[in-house]
Amino acid sequence: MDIKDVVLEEEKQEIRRFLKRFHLTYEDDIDITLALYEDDALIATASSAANIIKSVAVHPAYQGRGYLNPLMSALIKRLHEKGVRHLFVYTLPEHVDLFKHLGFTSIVESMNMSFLERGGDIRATLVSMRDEYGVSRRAKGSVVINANPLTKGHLHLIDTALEDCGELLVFVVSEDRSFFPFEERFAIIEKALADREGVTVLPSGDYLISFATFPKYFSKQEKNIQKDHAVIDVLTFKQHYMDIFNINVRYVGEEPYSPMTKTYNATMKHYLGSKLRIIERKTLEATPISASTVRKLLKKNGVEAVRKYVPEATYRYLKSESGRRAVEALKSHDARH
Amino acid sequence: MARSVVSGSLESSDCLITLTEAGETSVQVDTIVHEAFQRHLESLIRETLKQSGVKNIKVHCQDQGALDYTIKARLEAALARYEENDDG
Amino acid sequence: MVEKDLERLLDALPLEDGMRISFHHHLRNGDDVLNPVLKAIMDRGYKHLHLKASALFPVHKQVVKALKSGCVTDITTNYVSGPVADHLSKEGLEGSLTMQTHGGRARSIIEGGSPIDIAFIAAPAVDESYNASGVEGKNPCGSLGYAIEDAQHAAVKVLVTDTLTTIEHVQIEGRHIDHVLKVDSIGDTSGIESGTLAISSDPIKLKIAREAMRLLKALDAIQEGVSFQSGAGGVSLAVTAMFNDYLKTHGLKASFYSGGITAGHVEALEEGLVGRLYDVQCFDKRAIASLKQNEAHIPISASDYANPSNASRVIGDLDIVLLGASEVDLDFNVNVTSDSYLNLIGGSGGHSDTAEDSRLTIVVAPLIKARTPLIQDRVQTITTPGAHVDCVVSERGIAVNPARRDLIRSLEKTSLPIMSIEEMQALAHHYTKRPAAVKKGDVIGIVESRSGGRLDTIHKKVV
Repeated sequence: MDIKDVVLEEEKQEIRRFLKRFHLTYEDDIDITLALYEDDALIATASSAANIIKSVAVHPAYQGRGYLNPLMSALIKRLHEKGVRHLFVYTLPEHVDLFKHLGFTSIVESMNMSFLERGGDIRATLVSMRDEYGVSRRAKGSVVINANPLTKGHLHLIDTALEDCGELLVFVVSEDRSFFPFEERFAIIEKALADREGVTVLPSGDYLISFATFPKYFSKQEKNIQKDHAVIDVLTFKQHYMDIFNINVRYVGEEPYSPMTKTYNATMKHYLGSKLRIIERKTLEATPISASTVRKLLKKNGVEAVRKYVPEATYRYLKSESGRRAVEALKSHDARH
Repeated sequence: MARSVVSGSLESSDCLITLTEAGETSVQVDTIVHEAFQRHLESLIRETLKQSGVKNIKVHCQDQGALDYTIKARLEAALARYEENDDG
Repeated sequence: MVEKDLERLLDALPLEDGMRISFHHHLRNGDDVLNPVLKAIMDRGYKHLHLKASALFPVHKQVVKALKSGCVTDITTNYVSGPVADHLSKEGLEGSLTMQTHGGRARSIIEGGSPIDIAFIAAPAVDESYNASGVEGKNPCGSLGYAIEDAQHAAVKVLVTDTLTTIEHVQIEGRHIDHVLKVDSIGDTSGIESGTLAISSDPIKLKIAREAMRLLKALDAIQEGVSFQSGAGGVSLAVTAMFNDYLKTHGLKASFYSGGITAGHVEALEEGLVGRLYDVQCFDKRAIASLKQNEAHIPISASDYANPSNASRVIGDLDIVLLGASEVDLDFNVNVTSDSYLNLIGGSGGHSDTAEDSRLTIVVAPLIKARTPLIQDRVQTITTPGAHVDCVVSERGIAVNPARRDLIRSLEKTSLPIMSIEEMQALAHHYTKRPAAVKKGDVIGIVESRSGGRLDTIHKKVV
């Protein structure tokens, strides 16, 4: 038994072919891939993209014969050396026990998908986050925003929600896959909301991911898989966030454009029922304001063109040294988010 | 980031030990030999820890049916590595 | 008429809630008959089915869904592993689990104690008279031994095949058969071999094999005309190879090998070291090919193999059998049904049949496996009663059942590491320490002895 790093393109091709029989794809964001060989034959592989375990497969004739554990041990140790200690995996319910055997614990399980973590404990993490940010024990509302960057549309959502519930938690998606870095997004929001009573701004933590960045490494029925991820995300929020932070309403903006966001909102409605309130978008000159519109304008016409769509805090950031750099990068880049 | 080291593996009859700097000492054992040896493993780890003199550390042992000498060796190796990384 | 559509076949069958349906396991982990048939039945909303599969493998994931949905509420089988076993261990089932033996299943079907309403029989090749063969077709599995009683005694018998052809080796006669379903594929023959069949390179297993061989020699058990059975586990395969070598170097010829047949058994037949192979199931491709070519390689039914009510059963003449164990207790009771933590991991199969019939029953197993000692005060579940177990061979010693005074006497002057079962347990505890008691959950079923009595209960895990 031999465990090797997959580095060369032709090796990756071999992995792609191997994964195909399991209806798995090899995604572009993968940064580590290990392959297990027995007598020069590829028997098993496992990969990771940042802190997410992906594309794990063992040749059917070798399943149940103890190949998964050495392979995953090697991957877990490798990630640990890189400082990545809190790992996640999305898997099929029938494979949950295999990952539990590797020290993963379940976060949530839906009919079609399970979400597990290793090296962290969602309940303990949220409790300490609650205490660190001094969140009250009273019932309250909440929004989850990516704010990439913060617009007047977001402020409208927050103010409407705040008026409705009196106390509001604003979770900012921590995952750093958006165009503007998390720390900047977070700082802008803190500044913009500084004068509002009853608002607490918190990072979303590692558990809520932006729906736009759901892993989609299952090639089969990709559309359903994205829906499965949406279900997992909503269930994570419902079973853990709403419980620990005593949230009784989640507010979301109505979605006029993206069909994906629409699906996501529909999924939320299904699982949260009356605990979800959809707020009409703020419009400016009859156009709904969205972060993606703002990014498009920024890219095309520069900072001044977006001034009327964003709060002062965002505008100041965009004019700052780091903001200018981000806008320059945006102009030369083709990022979707 | 908190200082943290691992040793061992998740292969059968081995264990994976993870040591992480913490405010107080704690021991967590997840084992495939369940309640038959759970208590024994916890006290073995606490005893080895005591002998090493290392404090304020979280020990997580994922046991796949390792015998005492394997557990001790893995833990001692991890403790030595942990002490080496003192500056980290 | 041969039906080509599963739904239309189901329309033609007298399906109803609560009925008893059977499957055989000759395609082992490559089977693709049980899952789709059960799914189609489940999709029609039938409830309270009693699933009577001769064995259930990791591939049979549909059974878990059927248990969860209430479609299947009772299971009778001889062996269960993989997700179905895990589900049963943790969740139990609405009705009851009955673990039979290979011989006991045949007996109960023939005697009518365990009736089958509809038998779905995967058949690698079927001709126009509905005769079936296991060695022809595109997915041959060899012997169809465990399907013969189903084919003869179920109220309705359905062959499921992917090859309609003329056949030479008839194993199931068409006159018994009511329906034939033609599908694209009944499975993947390579799945027959998965998980077994490599002679072990594990030094502990090889040590056990050598010790077992030394024991056989010390007992002078390998005589001209000896009959022998061993399974497909790593230790068994190694002993079979050593057994063959011994016959060769001593110019001896065995009368027959029986049970599950592997390449090692076939080699012995082809080299003239054994007269006949009585094959109730094939464990690899070599065995499947041999069954087609070698006249002295004879397919037998489960009843002819091990049915205790069948006076001419093959294992009635068996001299030596080599068997595995997940646990052995101080009374020599053996458990191969669950592990020490109440996870179901298998079942008797032919274990307790051969142990009872064979003149010499040797259990081979590692003394310590992932810290868990082999010898327990009491096994979690009795698969085979200690009265039928003669010797336990581990890598660190051999224990002989005190009831076999004859064996103890003949081993007195040997250099073999003979010890009492208590000494063997103490030796294991020296390394592992004494395990604390494992709590048992609710009773989910029973182990049935080959004659139909209740041998022991099966408990759920406490999760």
